[in-house]
Amino acid sequence: MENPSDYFNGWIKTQQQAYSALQNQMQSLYPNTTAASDNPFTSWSKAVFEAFPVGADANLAKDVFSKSLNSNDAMQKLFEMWQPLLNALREKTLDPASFSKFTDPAQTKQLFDKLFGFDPELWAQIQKQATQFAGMIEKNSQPWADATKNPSFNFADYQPDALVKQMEALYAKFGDSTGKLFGMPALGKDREKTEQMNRFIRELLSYASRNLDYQKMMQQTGSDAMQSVVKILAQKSAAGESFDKFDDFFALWIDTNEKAFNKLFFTEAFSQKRNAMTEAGFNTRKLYHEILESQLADLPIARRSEMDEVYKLVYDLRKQVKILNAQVQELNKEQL
Amino acid sequence: MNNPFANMDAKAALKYFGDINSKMMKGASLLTEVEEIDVGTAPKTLVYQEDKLSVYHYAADAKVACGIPVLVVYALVNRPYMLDIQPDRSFIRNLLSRGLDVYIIDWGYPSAADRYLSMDDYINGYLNNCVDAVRRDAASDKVSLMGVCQGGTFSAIYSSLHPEKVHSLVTLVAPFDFSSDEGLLFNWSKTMDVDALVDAYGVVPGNLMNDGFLMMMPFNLNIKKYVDMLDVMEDEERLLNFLRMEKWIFDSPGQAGECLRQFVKDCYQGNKLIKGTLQLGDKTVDLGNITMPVLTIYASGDHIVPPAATKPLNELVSAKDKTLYEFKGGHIGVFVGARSQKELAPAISSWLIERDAPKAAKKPAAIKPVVKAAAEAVKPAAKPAEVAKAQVKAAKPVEAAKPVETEKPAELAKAVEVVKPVTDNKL
Repeated sequence: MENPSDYFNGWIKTQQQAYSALQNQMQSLYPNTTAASDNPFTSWSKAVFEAFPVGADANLAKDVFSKSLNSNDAMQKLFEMWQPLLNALREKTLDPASFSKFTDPAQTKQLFDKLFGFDPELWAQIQKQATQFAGMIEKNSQPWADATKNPSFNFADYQPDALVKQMEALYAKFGDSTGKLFGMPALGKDREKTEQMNRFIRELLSYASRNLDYQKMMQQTGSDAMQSVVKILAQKSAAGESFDKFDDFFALWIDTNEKAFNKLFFTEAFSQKRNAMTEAGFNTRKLYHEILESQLADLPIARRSEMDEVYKLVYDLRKQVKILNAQVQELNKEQL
Repeated sequence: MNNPFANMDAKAALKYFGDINSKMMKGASLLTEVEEIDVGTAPKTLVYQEDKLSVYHYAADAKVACGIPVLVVYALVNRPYMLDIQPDRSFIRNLLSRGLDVYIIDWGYPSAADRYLSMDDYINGYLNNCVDAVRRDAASDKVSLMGVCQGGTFSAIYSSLHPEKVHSLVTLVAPFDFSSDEGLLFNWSKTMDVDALVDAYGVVPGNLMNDGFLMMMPFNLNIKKYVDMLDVMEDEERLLNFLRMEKWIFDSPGQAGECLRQFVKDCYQGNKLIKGTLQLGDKTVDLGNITMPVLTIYASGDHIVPPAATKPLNELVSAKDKTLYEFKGGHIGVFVGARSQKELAPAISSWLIERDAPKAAKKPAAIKPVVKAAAEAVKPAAKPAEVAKAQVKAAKPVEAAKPVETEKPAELAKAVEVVKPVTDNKL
């Protein structure tokens, strides 16, 4: 094998050239869809996506293309992640115990975020919502508002609980001070709305906590699977076996991870944590809709709960009509 | 100690990644030309409609050898065109070519207004009306039900409640015993809070259900599949085949909340079907009421509905003529795998033809079909006795309840060959 760094750099260069060529091609074919962005990949992607026709299955084709790009991006990330190890394999006398230091947790996390659709931005949004909520009652909850503006959590270094712990502490502080006001009996619609917001924030925190608990479990499994791959590599190394192609290694990585996660998925702990997270998510969603409804109550539009009543009525009426129809048909038959 | 990557040639690797780019470009070009991906192309005629569901009658492409019409009952999850995904991998066309008279229910896409539909509505309401519509259209007293996955569960429940209308029951990879802990869906559903789910959504979005299916094999279904796809991107026909499957996978109707709530609570969590305590409307479901011939098909490599969930039906029915059939493959392979086309569809056809009622049992059409037009031209005509007999022999599965000792050795060998297990068909 030639110098792996040159190899990797060469590959990246080839990718860029290919994207650039395709971008030029797309621009020549579809001159009006040129993106203004300086990022060649974005321009290229935009041009490609705008080039898709509007047909019954055009979205499916776009979706497949997008997934293909993402999957190859994941494979590229995998390669990038293992690049230091490839270097080490070439340059050092290998000690299986030292393999693990080449797997970077932050990169591992990025890979699994991508795979399972975990969105680090979500936590920023949650924090933003909490800040906005605090802003609404800024005068009476200054300590809460100040505290939320000074986040100290660090998600990338494998301490995902930090955010939740921080927010729970802030929430407790809020509850002990200004929050006491919200424990008072309802005085009217405005108080109800505020209490509704209060419940929503509680549920959102519960969801955040459970979601992070779930993510931590998944990341841990991914990290353990990485170590399993490392062990297999070490065994191969000791046995004098080798990979001829990168996709052989890719297949090993896929297979090892699939088995590790499959094992996790069969555990009761997984079912409990996933269900706890989704349940909190569903409850949060429900509360959010209730808030929207109460905010929209004065507008002349049909709300979901009202539509549900209509749907129920239509459902019951439809059943009755069908029963009556059947009876009419029977009577007709008898008459014939 | 050797370097496991020592043999990896940098130039070859560069070429490998370069090829990926070429394939991506070619694939992008092909994908931009995709306007419509054709699925479910076997000719068919609409014969019944109610609310969002439709019943279709497939046009026969061979002499009809089976007088009793077959009504295919698909699951509420995903779309029934899986059975006719493309002409050369069409379970439906296969059945038609062997002389079956096939109808199918398309449940449609429930909207928010359908959230209150219950299992009782689907089974004693819709399914019962579909059966009646087919009986009218085919001028037949009875129909044979062929239930697929959840549709098989519904068909068995229906057959136990309305046995007088069902001539034979065929279930394909359908769950009955939900106590199994072999399938991930079974494990996850046992502790899920379905009330929270249904209360939050009303009609549960199909993509939410899909997320669950994809989670069962996340690395293969989310990454590897799309990396492998690059190998087919350059070939238009293979790319279209890939897209057809992709279309089916992500074409997921929402689930009527009340029906899903009961299915999860009573079946997955309460296992009431097996316990004999499942209540639909004012009726209790007793699988022991099933006395018509039953063919229970399970897939040995099924990761969605494990064999342990499927096989118990064979023990619970009172039918004397019952057959348990093992398909060596996975859940999806049952419908689209090469082995399915070669073995399973012929075996089912022959099993049904063998049990077909004498022509005299057919009832004259009392009510003319309302929507149907073309189907009149393809009314049943018996196949020559020898041909039918040969098909029956070929259809006998290895585990068939009926003994095959009376068959001649050569015929027996043929029968065994037809259902020979394979292991390369897991999807």
